[in-house]
Amino acid sequence: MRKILAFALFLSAPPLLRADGGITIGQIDRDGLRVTVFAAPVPVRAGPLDVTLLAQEMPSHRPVTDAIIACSVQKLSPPSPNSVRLPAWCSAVAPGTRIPATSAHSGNKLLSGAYLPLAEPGRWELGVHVARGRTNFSASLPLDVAAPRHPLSIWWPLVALVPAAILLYIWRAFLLRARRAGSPVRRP
Amino acid sequence: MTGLAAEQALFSWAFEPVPAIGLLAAAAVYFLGWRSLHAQVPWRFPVERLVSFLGGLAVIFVALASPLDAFAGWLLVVHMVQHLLLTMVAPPLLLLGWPMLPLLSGLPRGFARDGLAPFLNSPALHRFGRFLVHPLFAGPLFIVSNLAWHVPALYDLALMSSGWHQVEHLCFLGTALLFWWPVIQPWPSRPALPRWAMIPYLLAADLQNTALAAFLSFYDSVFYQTYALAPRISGLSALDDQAGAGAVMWVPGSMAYLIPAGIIAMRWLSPRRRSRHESPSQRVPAPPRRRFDLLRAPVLGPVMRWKYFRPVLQSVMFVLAAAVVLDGLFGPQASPVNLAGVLPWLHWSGFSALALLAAGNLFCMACPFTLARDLGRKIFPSTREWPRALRSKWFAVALLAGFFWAYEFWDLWDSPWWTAWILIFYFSGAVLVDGIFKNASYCKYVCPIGQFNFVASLVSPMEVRVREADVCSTCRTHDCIRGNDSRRGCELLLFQPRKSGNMDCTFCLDCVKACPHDNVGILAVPPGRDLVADPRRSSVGQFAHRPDLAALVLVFVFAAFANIAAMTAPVREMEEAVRRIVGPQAAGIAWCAVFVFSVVALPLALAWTCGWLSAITTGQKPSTVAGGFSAALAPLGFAMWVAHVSFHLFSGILTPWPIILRIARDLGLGTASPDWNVSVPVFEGLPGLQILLLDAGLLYSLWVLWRKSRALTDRALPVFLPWALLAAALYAAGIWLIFQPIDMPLALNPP
Repeated sequence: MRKILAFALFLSAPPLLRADGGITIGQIDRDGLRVTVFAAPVPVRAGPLDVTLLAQEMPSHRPVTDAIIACSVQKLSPPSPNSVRLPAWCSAVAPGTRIPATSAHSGNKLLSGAYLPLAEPGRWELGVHVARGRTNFSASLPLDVAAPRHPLSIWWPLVALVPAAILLYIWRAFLLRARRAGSPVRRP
Repeated sequence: MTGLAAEQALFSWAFEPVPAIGLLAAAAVYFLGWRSLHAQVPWRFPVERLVSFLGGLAVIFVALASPLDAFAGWLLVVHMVQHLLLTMVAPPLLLLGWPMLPLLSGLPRGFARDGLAPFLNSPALHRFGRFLVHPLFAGPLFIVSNLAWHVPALYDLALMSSGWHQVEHLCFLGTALLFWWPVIQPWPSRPALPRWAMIPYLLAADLQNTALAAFLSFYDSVFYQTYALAPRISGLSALDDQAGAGAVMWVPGSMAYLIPAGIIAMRWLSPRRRSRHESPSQRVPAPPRRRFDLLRAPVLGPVMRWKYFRPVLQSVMFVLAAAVVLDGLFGPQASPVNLAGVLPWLHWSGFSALALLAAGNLFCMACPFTLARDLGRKIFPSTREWPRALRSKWFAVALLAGFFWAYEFWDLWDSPWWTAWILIFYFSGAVLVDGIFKNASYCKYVCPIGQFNFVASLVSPMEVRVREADVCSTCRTHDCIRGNDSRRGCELLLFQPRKSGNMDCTFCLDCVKACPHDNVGILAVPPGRDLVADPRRSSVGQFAHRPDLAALVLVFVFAAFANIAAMTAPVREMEEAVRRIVGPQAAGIAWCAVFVFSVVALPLALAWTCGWLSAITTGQKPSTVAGGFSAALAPLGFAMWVAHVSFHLFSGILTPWPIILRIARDLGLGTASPDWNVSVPVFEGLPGLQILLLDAGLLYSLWVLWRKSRALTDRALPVFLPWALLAAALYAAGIWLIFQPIDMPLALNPP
């Protein structure tokens, strides 16, 4: 019975892992190193992609902090008419340009990260380039990039603050009116 | 983990601005309230209460920003420590600070009295509050929340999504505060159950905690899928990690319940002692509450009162302006590599807007043009009065609208040469106008930057005003306006005892220095007071009877939206399309017409229509209503300006550095070659900040409009509605504009 319960709970759990750079989108095992790649947002959407990577020595699992890691993105599918305008802090670069992934990017200093410009939806390739001592390799992961979300679907809670504040003000007015109606009339 | 990796793990602190600012604000409000209460009832609010509350906030900060948060997704034991801090350490510490009265006392008095008191005095909300902290509700709620968030589906959901993780933390902290309330029973709340009932209450919670901890400790497979998949960064297996988390929950968790239960039991069984401090006669009367006065602030105050403070400030700005002029005239004519393309349009506009938001009209205080004017007066002593026909803002309105038009039409920001000439015109104008005419005629009737700052500073939280009205009532010399042998009086003819608001005030501090009674300061004022009351101000009068001031405000407000719209990609693409179809000359005329319509004709027409609709109910003249109500739109317009210029400021904050290196190299003062690939600071939350600014601007405007409508008539809604719809339409336009991509030719496309 306990195993059935555990199995049911196990199935109900979403099998994804989140670091402070997002959710695992792939893992690369090469030359005694394991590089776990996290991305946000997932599903990946056109716009700035927040990519963070954890490099570990295998089989000891020791985190590697002295590797030089860079990322690149390249569009594989034909150009899309639905290109997005990237924000100033994540300007477009030539396809394949290596963008250094640094530990300054994320709170967790065992991770290296960078923002990658995905200018339009479609099929992309994420390149991961690792150099550490004599180890030097590149690997790639496919990325299916969806159309960006409308900004209002991201920021609506802040817009909703206005009607919420107005409702609170109206409620306050009702409370004040009720209090005045309930207070005894002063007689001279 | 290696030594280096362990060291980096320990440095994995994250700065999240929203919780950090929230915690700092809570600490500041509590401290202000505690300081006042400590002076009145020191035995009830000793230093220990302050330490306890601030300690509680510090524990929350550690839980949310330290490596505990960075590694919570990989190690369950770390995540458990984080949760224990949020549920068993921070809430009791916060409640031991008896936070209710200090927090209420620390808030601005007007907000506490008018904003919160109606809710706090409501009997229904009182009952609801007592229900929430009743042990029979708070205890089960805490237990259910604790159990529910440990179900794998919810636990993994929180680990997968930062949004849900924050909801989880809020649930833990919120339910824990309710749970610990009856245990601590912060003064002046009253217990719902006898004190001994807290012993079974705490034991019941411990029972739940022990059961959950035992389950985690002894379960023979990994309970949470996330930790089974997590990269192992230490020698600890996922199962050992889970057992460790169970042990943390079990031992320190149980102690957090059992120790208070023991203390309560001991006190309950001990004979009762009455505190010697309980006598109400020992209460010290509350010290009079003074408004914040910037000139009496600890460090800044003496600096600002220094005789040469303003000249030094002006000299710094003068040197910067001279550098901009020289580089604009003789430097490379590409705005991203020239000081004239960067400093005035990104940094000056951004910082002066932030200063207006945080304090007041500090740019006019540091104005370099008036320094040149004062020097020029030694050669041209002014003798004439400003022409009577021009003693209004109409000329300034035309100049301000003309400046906005020139900015858009000739892309002034993209021309260092023109930028330099604009500064030269400003300097010459100040010297000439004030060399011919008496007083600060240039500031009051001409300077477009000054008019912009005057309108923006209607929203500022501080103003130059008298400290004690009684002192002025006995004054016979009126040095603040007339001046004396050593100091000149107000050149903008603002008589301090009858001055209200910031309109026409340049923060020059002449009145402060001239007052023989030291009775003028830079005081904090309740927001919107001057806009709502619309008193008869010295040298300004009432907004309701000043259509020129209303026009100035309307141009300021609508130009805020037109200015950002002209930079958005859709509008630029439309501009290009029109140019392709009708040719450049006709397109130029068309855009001129669009500008005049959107910044001058449309606002005046809309304000008159709203005034006419409101006047149907009030019976006043439409122009009078429009005059008074237009000023209420200033907060919304200012919010749009701040949202816009803060975007440019954040995006281009580092741009002057390579330009300085280039100038140094050109002058032979250095050999370092500038790196034009200036990194742009990442600030993903900027749209959120801009929306919050617009929210605040809209709510501020709506509040002023409503208060003004209520002041005019009992049937306020028909008076308020047309203006509220106008403000809402502007807000919707602002939100749309924030979401549009902005062309940033400045500073980001160097050669």
